[in-house]
Amino acid sequence: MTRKILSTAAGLTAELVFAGALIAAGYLISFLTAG
Amino acid sequence: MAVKNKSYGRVLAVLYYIGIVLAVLAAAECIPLATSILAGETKFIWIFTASVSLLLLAAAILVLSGARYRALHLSSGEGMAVASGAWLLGMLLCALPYAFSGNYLSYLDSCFDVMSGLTTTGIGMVQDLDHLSVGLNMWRFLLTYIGGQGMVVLALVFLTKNTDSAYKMYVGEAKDERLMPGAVNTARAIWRISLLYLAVGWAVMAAAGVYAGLPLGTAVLHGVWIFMSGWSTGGFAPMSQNILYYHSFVYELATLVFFTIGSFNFALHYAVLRGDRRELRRNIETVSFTITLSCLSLLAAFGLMKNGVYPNLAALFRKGFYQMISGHTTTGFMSVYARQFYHEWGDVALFAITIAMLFGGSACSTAGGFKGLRIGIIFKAIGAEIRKYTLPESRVVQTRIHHVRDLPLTQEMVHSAFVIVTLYLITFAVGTAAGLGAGYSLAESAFESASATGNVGLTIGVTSPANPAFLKITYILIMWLARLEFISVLTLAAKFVRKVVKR
Amino acid sequence: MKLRLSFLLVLLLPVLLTVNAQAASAAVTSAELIEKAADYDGRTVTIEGEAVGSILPRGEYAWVNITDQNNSAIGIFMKASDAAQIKMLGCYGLTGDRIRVTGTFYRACAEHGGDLDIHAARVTLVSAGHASIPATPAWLPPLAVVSAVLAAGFCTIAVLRVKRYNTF
Repeated sequence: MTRKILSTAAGLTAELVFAGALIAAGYLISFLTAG
Repeated sequence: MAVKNKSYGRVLAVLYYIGIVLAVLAAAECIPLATSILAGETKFIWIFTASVSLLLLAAAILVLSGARYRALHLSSGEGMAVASGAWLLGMLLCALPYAFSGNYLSYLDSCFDVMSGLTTTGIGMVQDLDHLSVGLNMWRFLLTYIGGQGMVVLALVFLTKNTDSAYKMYVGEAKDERLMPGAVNTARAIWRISLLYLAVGWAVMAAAGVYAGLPLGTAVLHGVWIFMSGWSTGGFAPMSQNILYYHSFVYELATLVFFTIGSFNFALHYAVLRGDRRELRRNIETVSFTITLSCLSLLAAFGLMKNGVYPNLAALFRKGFYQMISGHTTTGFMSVYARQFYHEWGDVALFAITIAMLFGGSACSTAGGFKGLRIGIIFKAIGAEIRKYTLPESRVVQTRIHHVRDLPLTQEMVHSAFVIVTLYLITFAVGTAAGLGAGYSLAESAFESASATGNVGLTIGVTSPANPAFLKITYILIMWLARLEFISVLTLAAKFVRKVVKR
Repeated sequence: MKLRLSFLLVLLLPVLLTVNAQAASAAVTSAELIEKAADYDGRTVTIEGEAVGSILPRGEYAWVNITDQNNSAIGIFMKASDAAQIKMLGCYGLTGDRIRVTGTFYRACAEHGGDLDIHAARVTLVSAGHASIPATPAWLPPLAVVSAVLAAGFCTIAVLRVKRYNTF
């Protein structure tokens, strides 16, 4: 049960990180073009 | 008792299941009723009581007429008829609270907003949004949340058995990922994922709201609404300025995270949450989306900088990229005014965002558009075709794609991808023509058509209660067709024609 | 000749200044500002509207979103002390305080991440807000009661019928 919760939490974190990476890529693109 | 397989029995079986879906919608409609009671909105307590009752009445009539034939095994076509029929009747009946409210100029406008919510599009006809009833707002966002996951999927959650019929209805609603054996189990898995994110997302959005300066109660209320809208890649917001209302970078960032995740395939969520985190970078859809988003955003950024639209990096990100990813995920949240797209963005950036809206998010998700899976398949197929002519004839290479599992790229997959994308393109063209017919420019017509076709929700200012009826009806049909990915709706139409015309 | 000309200019100057000030204080609508944002960018404008939603504090300043027509609203960035004048904000059943704002309009404010906004120099309360609860139409309660009764009736019949054919 604990393993399942940890796995779900890790998965959630991974998705949040991936979304964050996409957003960061967008920020990078803006940075490169705004300069 | 043996169930006779008469032809009218089959129609009644379809009606029975449509009735079940409507009953589930009626139960859901009790939430805005409760909201209006808590908020003391007398007029809307009556409105929701009447609306829930009428919806339940319709559901009950359908259920009791078809109950005798509910054990019949539905064919694929009948499963699709259930899905598209439920969406059509659902739209007509869920529009009642809007129609009674006085916030809509016509019943057609009410139907438009319901279809826009259910298909998680997000363009709208509501009047005086800034003074809207709390209960009615709750209904707007609930319709979006339910429509995103799927009203049939929601109804399946309550069925007791994983029947063959259940699977046919599930597929009818344009979801074909088998997360688990059995459609009922899959439906429950989808809802468990959505509810998990609801818990996390609501808390984060509420906190972001407090940070943005909202009083706690409002932050909590807006939090659940904005989360439901974002996760479902809907696009509705509680105030007329949409996300611009909050004037907060942190709030925008929070919405970015949740609508991006909301655009992912449920099969991907299922795999990742069960431990397969590598799937995030191996999946054909995440790869496709990352590539198309980056390329199109770069193009849009160039276009915007060339026109000197935004003064600095912060503005380019919060206005340029925000709208781009909002469009590509088919969410539709806006931090600019609709007319600013028209007056400021310029052709290059508008071109980029129109393509992004058409490409859309992932399959088996709340997002719309061609879907990353098909774009990935099409590009791989093109690559394979070129390789066929460039490699020595003795080399036979089997193209593979990775989508949760490693799969061979079959002719059937390629064929299906091309057919559906072509249908989307035809729909987009018809929508653009309708806009032109109503007197709008090519850029405006194409933009708004892409928004309807991709179930996006960004608007350049075309959608309005002042539109001619033919344009509203065209958009309603487009949103419906696109959300159910054509086959369901076309099957329903074909069945109807066969029954009525070919007597 | 020269004396007459300069005398004329001295006379005209206050007139010119007054005309300019009047042009600045002639109120524009939010729709006009949005539609002609490029023209108004950086200029002093005056706008009147109803404060809606919530006041969003930003330290010594605050955001107040005002609406002057259906579904058209603009964010005003003003001093917190000015915002303190506003007691009622529009929502369902409530018309908010109406304020008159004079300030600089920005099409894409560099300070606020490209937001289209107005930085208020002067904020005055025009009229106080009041309750405006919509009335329930006379036909609605009877419709609700009748349909509720019918729904209850048909649901009972439906449940009984489903039970009768329960092969699941």
